[in-house]
Amino acid sequence: MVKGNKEKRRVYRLPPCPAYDVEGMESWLADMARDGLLLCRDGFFAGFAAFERADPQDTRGIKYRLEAAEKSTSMWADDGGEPDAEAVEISEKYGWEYIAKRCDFYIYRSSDPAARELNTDPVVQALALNTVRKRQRSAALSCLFWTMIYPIIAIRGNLFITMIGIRTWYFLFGAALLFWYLAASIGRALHLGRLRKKLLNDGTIDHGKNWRKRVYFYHAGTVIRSVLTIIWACILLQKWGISASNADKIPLSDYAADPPFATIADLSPGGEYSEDDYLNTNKVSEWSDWLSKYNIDWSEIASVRRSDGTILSGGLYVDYHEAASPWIAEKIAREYVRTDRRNRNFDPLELPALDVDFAVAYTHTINLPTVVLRDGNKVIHATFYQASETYIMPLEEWVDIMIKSIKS
Amino acid sequence: MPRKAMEVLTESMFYVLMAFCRGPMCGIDVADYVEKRTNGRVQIGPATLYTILAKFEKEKYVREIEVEGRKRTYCITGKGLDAYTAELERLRRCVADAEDSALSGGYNGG
Repeated sequence: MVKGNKEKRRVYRLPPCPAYDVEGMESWLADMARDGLLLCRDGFFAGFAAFERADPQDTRGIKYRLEAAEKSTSMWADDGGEPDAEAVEISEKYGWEYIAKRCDFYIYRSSDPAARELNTDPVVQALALNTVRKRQRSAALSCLFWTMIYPIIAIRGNLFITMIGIRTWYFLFGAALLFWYLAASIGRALHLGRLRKKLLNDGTIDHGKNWRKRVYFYHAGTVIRSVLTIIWACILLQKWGISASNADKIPLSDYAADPPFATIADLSPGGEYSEDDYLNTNKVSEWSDWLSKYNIDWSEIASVRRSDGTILSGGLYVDYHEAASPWIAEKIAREYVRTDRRNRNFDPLELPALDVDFAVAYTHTINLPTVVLRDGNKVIHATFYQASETYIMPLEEWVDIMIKSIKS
Repeated sequence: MPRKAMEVLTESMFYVLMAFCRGPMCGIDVADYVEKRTNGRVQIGPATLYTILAKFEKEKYVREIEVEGRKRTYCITGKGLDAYTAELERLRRCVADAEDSALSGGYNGG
């Protein structure tokens, strides 16, 4: 099929200002019309505006107006977020055609220079804007909940453990993005409030506002935020994949370094050590973080035949951190205790006076003996359950060995 | 104490209620009535009209009595009539005060 000269080709543009910048949007769309570009019906999608080419001679006098939507413009709303049929009919009678919606605004277009304005009463227009402003305020509060309050609830107060676990730089990256979205949400509500006040005070809207003034700032902000969000999401997927496949852990048998804490072999030195890795769970991971320069996650199921023939066996699970400061180490230690305290069957155990800055022992869940120790900037959270029928090492003994190991 | 939004009727709102005092009407008929009644002085824009109708319906100043295709017909309620009457009375007092002031002292501007 041969393309005719009259076929309207679509042109896509990034809007130079946010949807709630009523003056900027009206001015921009009018300027686009002067250049022969008419906004397409339902012409906003994925942040872009679609235009059809027309003869600039025919489109010079076209004007656009944004009308605040009294109800939700979501495509999931009962009526697809479209304006009321009555509103469209009334507008058509006075020379205005409904074209598209963008966020909380309907966009109308008129090619009749003598058409009466869409809004002739600034107080009434301010009333309509107030409805949108309240909706934006609710959205900002919702954003505040999901960006600030829910994460605090979700991590259950374990800020430092969470940051170290997912890497502090990544945590702060995500927090900065959340603050950016929250600030944008608040900014929308504030801008609408200012526009509403302007209508009530001056009674005018600047339909010819200079939208070019901050266009680079707006585009840069939009692009940067979008790219950063995609990067953050990609990293999240990568981390999830690594965590699900344990790709960040190596088998203990392949671990060549000497951990800075006592392992099952160290609890009974000189004995005959053997790994009982029938579940393939004997793994270790090491990493570094801004808040804690050296971190180890240790999981070991093993047994040691002692010189007297008895067997020390069981599982040793250690979280070890060398925090950036004793203050951070203290926070980490207390978070471990707080986390385990929420488990069922939490039961504190007595410990003698120990030569460390912090020591708490307890059992939890299925009677798992656990100790949290801090010495300076070093923190150990160790759970050692014992399964031997011939020998059970007393809590104080293995805790003492642990303390000596982190002090050495 | 500052008045709330719908306690103060703007000129457009007042004339819309005036139109409904004549009888049930649809939006377009209201706009035509107001324009004719004021000899073109007050021209209500479509978005203004639609916002006023939506607000009045929410405030129960008017209620929808018929829907025919895209056309919705409204009639004024008792509450709407009271609001119109109160605004009419307020405007009368403003005019009376202004006329009394003109009669007693004249205009001293300049």
